[in-house]
Amino acid sequence: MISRLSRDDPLAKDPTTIALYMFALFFISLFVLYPLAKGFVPTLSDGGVYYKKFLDERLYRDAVINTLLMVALSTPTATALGFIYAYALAKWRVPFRKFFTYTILLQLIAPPFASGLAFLMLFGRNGIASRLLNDLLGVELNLYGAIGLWIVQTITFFPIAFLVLYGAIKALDPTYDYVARTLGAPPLRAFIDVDLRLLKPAILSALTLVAMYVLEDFGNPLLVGGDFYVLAVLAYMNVVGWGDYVGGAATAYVLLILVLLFFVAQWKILGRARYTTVTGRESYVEVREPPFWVKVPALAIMTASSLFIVTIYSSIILGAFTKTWGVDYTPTLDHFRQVSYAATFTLRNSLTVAIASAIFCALLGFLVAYMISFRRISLTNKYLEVVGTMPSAIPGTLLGIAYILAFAGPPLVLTGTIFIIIVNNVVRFLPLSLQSYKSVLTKIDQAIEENSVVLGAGAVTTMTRVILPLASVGFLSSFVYAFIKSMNTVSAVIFLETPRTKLLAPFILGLGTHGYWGQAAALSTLLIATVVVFLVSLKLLMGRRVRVFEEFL
Amino acid sequence: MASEILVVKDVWKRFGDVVALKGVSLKVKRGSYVVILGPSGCGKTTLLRIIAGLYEPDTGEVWIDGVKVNGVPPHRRGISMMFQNYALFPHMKVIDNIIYGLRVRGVDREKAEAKAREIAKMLGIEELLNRYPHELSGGQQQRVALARALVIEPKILLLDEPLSNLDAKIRAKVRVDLRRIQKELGITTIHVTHDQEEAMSVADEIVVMNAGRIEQVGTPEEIYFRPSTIFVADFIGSMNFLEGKVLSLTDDGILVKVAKLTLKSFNRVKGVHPGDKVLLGFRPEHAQLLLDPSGKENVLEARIIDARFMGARVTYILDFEGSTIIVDDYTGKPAKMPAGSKIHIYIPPERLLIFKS
Repeated sequence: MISRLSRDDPLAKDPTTIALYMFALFFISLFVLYPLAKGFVPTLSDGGVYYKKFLDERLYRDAVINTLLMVALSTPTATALGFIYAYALAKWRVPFRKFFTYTILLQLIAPPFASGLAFLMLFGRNGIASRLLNDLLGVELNLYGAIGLWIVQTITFFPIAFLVLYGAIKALDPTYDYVARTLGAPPLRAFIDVDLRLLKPAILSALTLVAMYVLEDFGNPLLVGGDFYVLAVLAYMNVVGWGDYVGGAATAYVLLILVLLFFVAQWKILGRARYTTVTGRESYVEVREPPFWVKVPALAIMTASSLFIVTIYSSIILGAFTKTWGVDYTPTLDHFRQVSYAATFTLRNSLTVAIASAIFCALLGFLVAYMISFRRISLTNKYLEVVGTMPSAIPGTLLGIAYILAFAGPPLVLTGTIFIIIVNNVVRFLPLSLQSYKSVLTKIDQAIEENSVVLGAGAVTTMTRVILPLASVGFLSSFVYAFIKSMNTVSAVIFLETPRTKLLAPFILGLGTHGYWGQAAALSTLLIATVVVFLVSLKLLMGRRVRVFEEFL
Repeated sequence: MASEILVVKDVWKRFGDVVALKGVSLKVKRGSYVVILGPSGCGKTTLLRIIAGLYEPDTGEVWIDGVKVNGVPPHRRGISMMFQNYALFPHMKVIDNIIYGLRVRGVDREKAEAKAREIAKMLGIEELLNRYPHELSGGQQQRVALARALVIEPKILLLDEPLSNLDAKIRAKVRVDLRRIQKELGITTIHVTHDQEEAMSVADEIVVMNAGRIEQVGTPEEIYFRPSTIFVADFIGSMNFLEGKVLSLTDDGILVKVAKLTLKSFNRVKGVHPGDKVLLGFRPEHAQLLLDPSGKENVLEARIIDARFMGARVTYILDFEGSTIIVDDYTGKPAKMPAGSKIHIYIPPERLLIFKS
């Protein structure tokens, strides 16, 4: 990268390139920084009364404490579970490997609230497991609230930790472990001193990432939390329940502050923990199987978790096609029939939004990533990179509420349109897209571009005809991730949709919170099936260039 | 105490379709420096790893210091191993890398550090103790890795291609150091390499391997002067080969007919009988050019194809009855002779080797 930047860049003076560069700058400034600033100003009015509530009112204080408590509980358990899966699948011979990897994949492509919904169907007040316990043992099971949410968030977000850790563990040179052992360290000691220490940076980023997801998750706390309010739910109550947009915004900014604290903490700890691994040639050492007293419990935990995931999706499918969940299992299509109009309508909206978001996200991601890696235009490169990555740290709730506040009035009115939803998705999933491109673009030699220019192609021709095709893997993975995310997301779009632009995922969440399980299950099945069909057909169409979480399958 | 610290008995190892070791047996004397030498893929690294306990043999036994160690994990074998890429723990300072083996054995930090300093001094790395591995040069990393392996006083030190990641310049110096340290500590060392010069310069004993088998075990002199197989003869240095037929066995050697000549060798080979076809071998530096061949035995007449002045020597490429022979002349006695002219070469009977063909 350094050598790339230190070269002269004649293309930086090309007018079309400058125009595109300005567009990228303008777009991310307008849709990332502007709403954040515009939404923030009113929360400061009335002498900070909105923030004083967090000191004075119990509901607000508790929401902060609950949010932190949930992060403190779920983050370690989800990361630990992700670690067990990652270590076992990366290093050991694991029977029924596909069973484990496919259940993880399912969790990654299904909406997060599916786990919450299924949990209610199983362990809620009228859940089958709860009733069974009551009938047989007379035990009143109440998992609404903190405990239930803890379990749900662990099973929902451990795959996020798994993704980070699997890559890191695969890249870990087993020679270190062998050296430690030949020097006399027993297996457990070697694991702690070497593997765990070398994985520390990856474990920290997995923890931060999971904490982020838990902090900003809205669907599961709404479904399973009961009286256990977290900040994302409180912000929603402010806006939707009490019509207090500014109060909602203030709550979301408090959430942002918590998120930033986690980033600072990670950064502080990680600062000294980054190692360059010095190795010469690749070493070929057989990875040794762990002793049974490690492997058996690990596989038992994985089996229980994966079976739980299977139970989750079986409940949803079963609930979708039976008369009354928990009472009458007569097969029926009633649930689909009852919601058929809403289903068609919201699914059409969701597909339109998801496809448009995915295309624009992949294009904008390319434009920004291309400018960052290939064009050298003073300081603004850093600005593009930082602001482009920022949305990964901004809770969806905040970006949703900020958008209503910012785009309801001049200079730019977008509220109520479908565009506001699409733009919001594009911005929120831009960091993922940038990441997909970054790994691809850094592998392209600057000489390829120079060659094209020498042969007489202009800057834009080179960008679209040479660089973009080379970056097609990045394009497709941006597209796929943005599509999945756009289909499943709730936290921001729930504030932006109108009766005309109603989307499927928030609609399901609404049915779930009001106890229409059969219908919620039917529509969840529809949503998951749509995403799966989309992925499979894309895969069949494009073959190996589409890579969806394939590193571990 | 038995004089053998390591005994390997008929070890076989297969990886999928590839048989890496085909019945390897080896004995190593306490305190000796043994080099396992062979081309890549000959099984030398596999053998080292089986000794280390990183692989288990399919069949066969490994004994260390009188104890059978099949199934014993690496850390209970009393060995330590230095890997080709050194594998210094990147998250630990040099001092922590070196004392790691002592710390896991429960040695307290002060004692461990004192011992580490002693070894570090011996290796000339005392200045580096507070650095991280990525701040060191390749040669320095290698010394740290060696210190880490030595500090636990292993019964056997295993070195896997220890010099292959170093520049040619410092390699020669490190060879001398390795040898010196090994003698000072009296530690049994097994060193794997594909570099014959490296093997010659450090070994008490060389084990030459090829295609999963041991071809020959001997001192560098034995391997060089009396290679027991064609492979060894060809792999170590270079060798001229001529086809011949055994005429008779005498008290002090063997008579072989080559083309129309009768050549004498003092090197008898078991199982060779009159009438057998054999290969005769001699090294380019052992043949002598003669201007006046009269009255001498073991003389060939050859035609000069080319003569190349190489500085310390002149290399003659000769044709003898259709075979190409190379002779290195270090005496400078015959002035460089033109191509096409005839020349006589004398092969001392003690340097003429016989191989069953």
